[in-house]
Amino acid sequence: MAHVGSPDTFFGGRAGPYSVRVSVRLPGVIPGRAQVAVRVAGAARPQDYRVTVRAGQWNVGLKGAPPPEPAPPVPGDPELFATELWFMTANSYEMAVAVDGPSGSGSVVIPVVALATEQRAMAPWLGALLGGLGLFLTAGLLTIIGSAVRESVLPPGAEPDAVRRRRARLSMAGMAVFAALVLWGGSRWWSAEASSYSQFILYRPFNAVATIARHDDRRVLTLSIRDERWPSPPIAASRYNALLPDHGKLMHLFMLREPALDALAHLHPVARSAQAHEFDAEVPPLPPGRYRVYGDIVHESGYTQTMVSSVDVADAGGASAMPTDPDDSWFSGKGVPEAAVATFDLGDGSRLEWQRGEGGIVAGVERDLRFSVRDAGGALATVEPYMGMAAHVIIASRDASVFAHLHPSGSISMAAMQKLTDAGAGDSHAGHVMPLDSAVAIPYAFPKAGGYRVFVQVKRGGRVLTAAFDVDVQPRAASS
Amino acid sequence: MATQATAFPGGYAAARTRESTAAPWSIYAVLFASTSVILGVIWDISWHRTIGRDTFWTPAHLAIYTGGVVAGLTCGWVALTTTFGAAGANRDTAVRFWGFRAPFGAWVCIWGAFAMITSAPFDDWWHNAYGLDVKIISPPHMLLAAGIAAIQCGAMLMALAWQNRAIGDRRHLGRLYLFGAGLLLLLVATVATEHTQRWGMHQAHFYQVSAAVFLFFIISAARASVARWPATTIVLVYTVLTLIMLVLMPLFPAQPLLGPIYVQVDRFMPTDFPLLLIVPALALDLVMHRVRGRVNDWTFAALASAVFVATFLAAQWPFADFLMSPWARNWFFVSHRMPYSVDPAFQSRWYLLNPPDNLAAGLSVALALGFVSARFGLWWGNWMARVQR
Repeated sequence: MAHVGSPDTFFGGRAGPYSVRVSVRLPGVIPGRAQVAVRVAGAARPQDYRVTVRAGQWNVGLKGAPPPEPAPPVPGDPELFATELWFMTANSYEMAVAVDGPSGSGSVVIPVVALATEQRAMAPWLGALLGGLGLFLTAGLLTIIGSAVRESVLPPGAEPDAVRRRRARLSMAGMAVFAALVLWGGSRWWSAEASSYSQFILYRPFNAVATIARHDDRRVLTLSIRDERWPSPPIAASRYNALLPDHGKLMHLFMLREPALDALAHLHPVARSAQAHEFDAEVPPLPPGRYRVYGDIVHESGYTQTMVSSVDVADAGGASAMPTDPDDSWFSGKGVPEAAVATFDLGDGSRLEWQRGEGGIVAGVERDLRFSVRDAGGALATVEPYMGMAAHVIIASRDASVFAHLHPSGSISMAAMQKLTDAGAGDSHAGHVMPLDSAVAIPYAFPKAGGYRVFVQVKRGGRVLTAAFDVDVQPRAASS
Repeated sequence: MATQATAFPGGYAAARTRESTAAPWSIYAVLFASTSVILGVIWDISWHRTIGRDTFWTPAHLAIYTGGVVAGLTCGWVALTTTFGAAGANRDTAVRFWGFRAPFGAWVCIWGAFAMITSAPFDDWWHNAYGLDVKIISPPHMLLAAGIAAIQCGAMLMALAWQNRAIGDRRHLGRLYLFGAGLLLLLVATVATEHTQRWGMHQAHFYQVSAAVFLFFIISAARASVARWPATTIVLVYTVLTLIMLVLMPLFPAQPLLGPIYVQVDRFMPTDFPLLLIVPALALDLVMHRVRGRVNDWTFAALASAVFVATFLAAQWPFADFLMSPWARNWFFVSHRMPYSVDPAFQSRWYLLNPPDNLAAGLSVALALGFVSARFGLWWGNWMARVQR
């Protein structure tokens, strides 16, 4: 699933006989080298394992991928294997993780979206160093020109006369003008390159605008995509090709009330036309206020995006609320403060526990987010699949810079995963009704320090139940 | 043409007899540096077209840096010994630079070495800000290219000053100078590659770029030479070195380590077959033999441009057809060698020339550009012919 401010990929699942946790930390700029870590649960003797990773761009797949990159063991942690992986284009990739070990061979293919998310400024000391070297080179160039005119053609031993000296000064002045022009042109070029980077390479989700219109007694939220990269029809060969249903829906839309993040809606708007420029969803009975709006879409390339907008929700004023989609859900209420074990009352006699464990959560450090549902007696309860998943987790930072939508398998898009592994047509999740174990462990690293709200959605008794937790993520330096 | 000074002041006259027509070690060192740099550049381009990803420590990079270090240290040593050493004669053949003395070309080389050094942290930051080697033509790469060009230019000028000062048989020194000029032409042709690829050889842009770029370097270097076939010699250096790299590189196994891989490659990509600049170079030499001393530089520039465009067109146009034919898909003409990154759309037009565009107007522009290029080349060449230090 696409995210905001959380570009890294986290996966938890199986590679054949092995339970693996995989993280792909992007370099911020593309092309660049991502840090890939593979944790093989239960590996005691790393020398008995051979772990490799390779990534192929969506349109060529693993056939067009470079040879597998060995991930050697990380000293001090027998379960952990790590390597660097090059991503040349800001695009959608399939990444194969292969584990060879005492239980045989296993592999898993994970969708990874390589995004450029950073635009880095130059450190002042480097700017000063390069500026100084630039001055030195310019002065050297002027001196060379002066020497060329003043002395270079003189017979050996001869001294330049006044005419030559004057000509040399004039030439240096002319060269100074030329050098200034070159530097000016270089600066313009640099600006153009920076602008081209931010326009074409830096991740920029489609521009979208959310509006709410009243139709008789109904309120309809419309997310309109207005972006030059989203023509009609979509360009098949580009990463922005047609949309792919994720959990059977073309869009997952989230509304979060500002500033307290005390109301949430998880909706599934319907495309008004085949061009998928406008998506409509019935507004549920939410408390009035200003809401952040996040629209998650997945392209057939596996490229995911989260469009960002905001909208004012007025008082319902007698409007009815018929969900657009049976899987639409909403919630308003307070969050439970984080604790080693935090408990949220789901209101149906059960409660949702977050076993954070001892010690606070630290920015950038991967850990499993462990949730489970307990019945009134404290026993582990089962849940029904909510769009095929035991749980959906929504993470939002209070400063609006981070938004992520996770599943038990991590941060990846399930639609892209299915597409890569060719798991059959349609969405196999949507039809599941078998009860699922409610205990989930989701690998994730909060990208930055600060206050967050974590929503966990499960389905029980045919109803979607939402738990909310507040967490204060510590800066990394403070923990070490 | 090269000026012969008849009266030398100071201790130079005595020193001059010792100088003879042999070149000092520093000339060979900077020409080695110039060769190392340009072969490193060609190797590096092949590396990126074959393997894709690299580190600071690839052999190709090391060849480039070796050139920079050898040129910088050699010329630094020359500057120190000329400034502080006892050899007064050397000081007489040096130019001043911030209180130091060294031959003019040595200062150009030193500047080039510093430009290369400056480009390193700049390029590193560029990679951190905009990604690894997004483009070959980027501001830090251009600074590196300026440094490389300065080293090659400095090497050529050092050999040139020695040629211009020498008494007696200057053929060997003249050849060293032309070798340096040929290396510089090879760099220029390499940088211009993006505009001189074979798909455009039936289009005006190809001839415009060629006339604008190559005439300057060929004409200027020829003007300052004492050889009988200077243009041909310079272009031969370009052609032979390109052919050597073309034949050698595919002998070494390599595989792409960067995706997406559209073409499976198991050998280093050769450089493209050299442009047939040898034809206009021969023609220019012949014209120079005929008109020497009979026309002024303005007329000669116009003549040179016309000869270059006409003969290059006559040679390269049909040769482009040949390069696209099955006859050129072999180890020597290498038309069939595709880099790993050529996508299916490009593969489908790999052997198709872009159709000719408005040639009448386009070639007129090429003639005009060639005239300007040749005229500036003559101006520069006349100065080079007088360089003594």
